[in-house]
Amino acid sequence: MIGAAPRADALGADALGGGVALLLAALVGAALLMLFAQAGEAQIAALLGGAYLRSILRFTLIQAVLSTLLSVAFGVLVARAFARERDFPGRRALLGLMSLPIVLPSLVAVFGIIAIYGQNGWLARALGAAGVEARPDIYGLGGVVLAHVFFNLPLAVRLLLPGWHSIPVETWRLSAQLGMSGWAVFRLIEWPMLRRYLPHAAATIFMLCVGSFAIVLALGGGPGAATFEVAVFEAIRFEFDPPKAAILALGGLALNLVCLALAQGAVGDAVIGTGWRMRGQDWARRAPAARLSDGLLIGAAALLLIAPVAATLVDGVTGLASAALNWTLVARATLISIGLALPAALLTLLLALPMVLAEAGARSARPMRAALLRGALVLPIAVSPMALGLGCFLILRLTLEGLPRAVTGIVLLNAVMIVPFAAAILRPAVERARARHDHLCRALGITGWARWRLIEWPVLRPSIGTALAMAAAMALGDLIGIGLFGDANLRNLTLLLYDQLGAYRMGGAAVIAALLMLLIFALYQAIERLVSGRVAP
Amino acid sequence: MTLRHGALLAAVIATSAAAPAPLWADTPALTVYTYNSFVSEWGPGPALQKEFEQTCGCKIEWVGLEDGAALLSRLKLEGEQTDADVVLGIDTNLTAETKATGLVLPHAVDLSAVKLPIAWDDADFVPYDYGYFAFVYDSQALPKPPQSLAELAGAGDAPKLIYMDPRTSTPGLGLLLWVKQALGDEAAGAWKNIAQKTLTVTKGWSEGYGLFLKGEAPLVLSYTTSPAYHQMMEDTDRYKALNFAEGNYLQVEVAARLKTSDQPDLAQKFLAFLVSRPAQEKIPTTNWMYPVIDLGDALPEAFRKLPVPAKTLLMPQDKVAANRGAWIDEWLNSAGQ
Repeated sequence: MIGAAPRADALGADALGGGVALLLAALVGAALLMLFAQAGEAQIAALLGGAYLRSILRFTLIQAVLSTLLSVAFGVLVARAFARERDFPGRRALLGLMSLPIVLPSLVAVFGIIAIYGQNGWLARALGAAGVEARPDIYGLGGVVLAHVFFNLPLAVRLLLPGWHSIPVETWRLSAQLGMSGWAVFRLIEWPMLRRYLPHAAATIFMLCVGSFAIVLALGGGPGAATFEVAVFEAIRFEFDPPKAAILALGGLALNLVCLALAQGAVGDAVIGTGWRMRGQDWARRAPAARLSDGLLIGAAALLLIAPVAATLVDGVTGLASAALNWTLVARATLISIGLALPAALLTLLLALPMVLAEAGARSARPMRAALLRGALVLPIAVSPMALGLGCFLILRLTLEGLPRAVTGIVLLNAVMIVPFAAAILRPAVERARARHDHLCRALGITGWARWRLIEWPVLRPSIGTALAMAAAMALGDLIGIGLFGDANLRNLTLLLYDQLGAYRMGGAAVIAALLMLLIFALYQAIERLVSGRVAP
Repeated sequence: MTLRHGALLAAVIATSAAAPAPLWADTPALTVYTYNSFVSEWGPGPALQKEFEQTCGCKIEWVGLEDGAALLSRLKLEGEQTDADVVLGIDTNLTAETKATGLVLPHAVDLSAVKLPIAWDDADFVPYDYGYFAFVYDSQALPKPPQSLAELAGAGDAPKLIYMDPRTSTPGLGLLLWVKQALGDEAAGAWKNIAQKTLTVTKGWSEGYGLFLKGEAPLVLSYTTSPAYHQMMEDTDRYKALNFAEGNYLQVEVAARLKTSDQPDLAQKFLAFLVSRPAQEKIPTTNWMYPVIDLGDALPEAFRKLPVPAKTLLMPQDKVAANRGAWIDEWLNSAGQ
């Protein structure tokens, strides 16, 4: 009798998660189908055999692999340092900043990076002042990889840090009692944990780098530095050939799915810790050398991160002098940005959470099902953003028009594209909660709403807060949605930024960029504090 | 134009006097697809809208898209179902493709006042501004800029320059055609040399010009009219445009009304308004391009003082449409290695 109720409950949660996954997959599939349904003359054979596609594929792979390797390697070290150094001043603010790069509009990030490493950047001027002849040259593969590390190192830290938090305190105590060396700790404790967390973090970053586009062109230094997405863009914009764009998008998807399958295969089967957090762990007693290296790593990451952010803020303040902004317009755009971001974030959560819950539920008993759910969860970033966006536009055009279409389209597209990130934040917490409480709940027959209210919500609340905050911040920087669905009455801050740039107004653009950055940061912090209820990990 | 305008005004006054329209009356809306910077606060859109709505008894509804290419792409996707009455912001390199959609209705606008560097007898498209592509240079960083395309495409790796990708941007495509028309078979070799001097190739004009203003390179692909902005708004003549010995490539921006529109007359009035003096006077300092009619002294001094290219280059439409792909391949093979 006891067994019957939980099974029904599990079935309900599974069905909900599975249903949402099907919906999401159907949307992505329908979007691509809509592109195929348009007139065009894509010739698959000619396309796939072409030298152009081969060279573009080569550069896409090279930069994505390099960017991923560097982001992840550096990310492991930095996440580890963060996991050990648990209470230095500014830790929380720094982790908050970690969510900033990934959500920044690419142009803001490019200008921030240029302000530091460009021909006329801070670094070049510092070298000049010091009498050094050499100048940094970031245009080329190096610049592309640097920009991608700037974006993705913080993401890697965010995705990996929960891994350390999942190692139970008993494990650490035992390792201390046994007097394990640093290497032994890594090999026996941290590596098995990493095998669980690293592959998917790497796959996520890889897919983002494959889909990267404007940054690659701006910093790539020449036409040879172009990614798959450039070809998709060209097919849509200048060749008016949506089916060709769809085929290219499918090619990119295939590449990403191979990567995802590799990641799935590399995932180790480390036991999820059921013990409590390592709050009792006294890292401060470690050798000074270890603490110093942690400090250096965190410092280096902070510098990489903060320098372009600081440059953007400085430019914004300087720009105020020449900006001549219409502040009513800015205020309106700010409200529109927030008004579109909040519903998008909420929708992201409503899509991601049931899928993550279902995935965690299926993990041990039905691994195939779990893998499928996991695939559906990353689908939105595995598909070309341009193609997905245009497909969604074509779908919504069938039923809606005017302002309702614009609002629905922007909210939906943003929500869908952010699902993978929200899922990555929610997953560790959901898995931990399940590992800890599943048996107890089954034994006590706590199910359904009661289980959610009494058990899941208190445990998941901090992660839900972080996921919502991240989703809202990402949606705040939206450009694809507003570019596709926008109408003249719906101009958000990002668009205002591009408007200024398009009208030669660099000062105003710098002010808006700084403002957007501050707003993203503030909204993130506010939501996380409000929803999480306490300091999130 | 003024006469036509006066008549229109009189007609509007007469109708409203005869039958005062109740507030809830269905004011006809004219949907205009354009690019975003046209309707931004700094673009011509708001001023033109105010002016036109005073007399038309209608309401303009703008739909802003990324650029002219996005405009055409949207039009192709929507086909006969498009909401647009007017498209505004297609450039001369895309008019053939736009016409090929079969959606364009001849404009029926009297263009006798229009003065362009080339003869304009197009029955489908109404030009509303024009400019020449040019490399703009920072005179503080580059005292001796190249004077011709051949010199720019000469050997060496300096001065560094920034241009836009012809696969993703209209000015980028303009440069590709410019090089092809001016240098013909030598274009491939020129691109090989230009590649040595290229700092980077950006997705769009905004990124490229932004990098230039941040001092990343002393030369950038833009328009001959760009310096007018810096003179009028920033009071500096530090940034100057280069008129090359081979000539500069022309860009004319045009508008058209659509067959699918349910108010072709209103659309026609809007197109006529576009080339009228009140509208044209607003173009130079909002879109930073030349007006298409002679404004005389009403053209700001900064524009009148701009050096005009000695020679105007422009390729025939069908040739562009037929060769775009091949020339992009040539560029990729020469500049992309």
